[in-house]
Amino acid sequence: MRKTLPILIVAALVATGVAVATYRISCRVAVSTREQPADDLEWFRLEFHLSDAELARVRALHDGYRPQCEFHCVRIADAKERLQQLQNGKAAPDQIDAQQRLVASVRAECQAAMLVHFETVSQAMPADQGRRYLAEMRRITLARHEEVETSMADAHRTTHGHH
Amino acid sequence: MSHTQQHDIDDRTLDALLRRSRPAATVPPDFHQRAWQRIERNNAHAGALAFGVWLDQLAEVLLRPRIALAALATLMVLSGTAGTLSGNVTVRQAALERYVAAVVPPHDA
Repeated sequence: MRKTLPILIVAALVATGVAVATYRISCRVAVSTREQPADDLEWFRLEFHLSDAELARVRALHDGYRPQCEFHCVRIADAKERLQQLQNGKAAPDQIDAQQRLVASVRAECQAAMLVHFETVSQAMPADQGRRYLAEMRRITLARHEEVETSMADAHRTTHGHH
Repeated sequence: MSHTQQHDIDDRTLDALLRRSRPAATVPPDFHQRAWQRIERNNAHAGALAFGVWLDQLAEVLLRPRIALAALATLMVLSGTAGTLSGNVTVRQAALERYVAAVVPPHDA
């Protein structure tokens, strides 16, 4: 037993080392072999196994949506900048409120356009894949909004807690 | 001397010898306690001995070249598969994040 126990411990350590090394190497190989050149739509190929024709349809929709998305981003950035100026310039509360409503409204427009785009893309895909895509995108966007709302609610509670 | 008389003498001699060979020893007061302690120690030692025997048998089985190689190969296949799956998940996650970053504006995040 005195000799056996160290031998078994060494064998277990060697086995663990081999397992960890194999896991890491195969993980790295999987990442390096599947990593593709920069493409926003790589996820569609990996997750939904779309054919070239289907991917081309999605790409056309994606490329068509990008300018819209950028337009909304610019509008939101402008509205936020104007709001900041009003707040810094000690503008009238009514003016600040109106600007805040404008920021919220351009954000809502952007979000609505985004959801329409997701619907359109889902319809360009095979039915099952489209449903899965739409569910995933709704889940992601809703989860992000919930994160923001939670963080804002927490910040609000903290601020009021200090008063 | 008759045969019976000779037997009587032998029996008496034998009794005397037996009495001398079994002296009435005095037992120390903690004799029983010490006796049980020794028995318990021996039992514990027997348990350790049994574990040692089991360990030896295990080592003998596991360290046979064929079995050791088969176990190592199985381990490598399993960990390799797990690594590949994990790598694929990482790649998909990175691709998803890239797509989301392209279509969900940062102000929405």
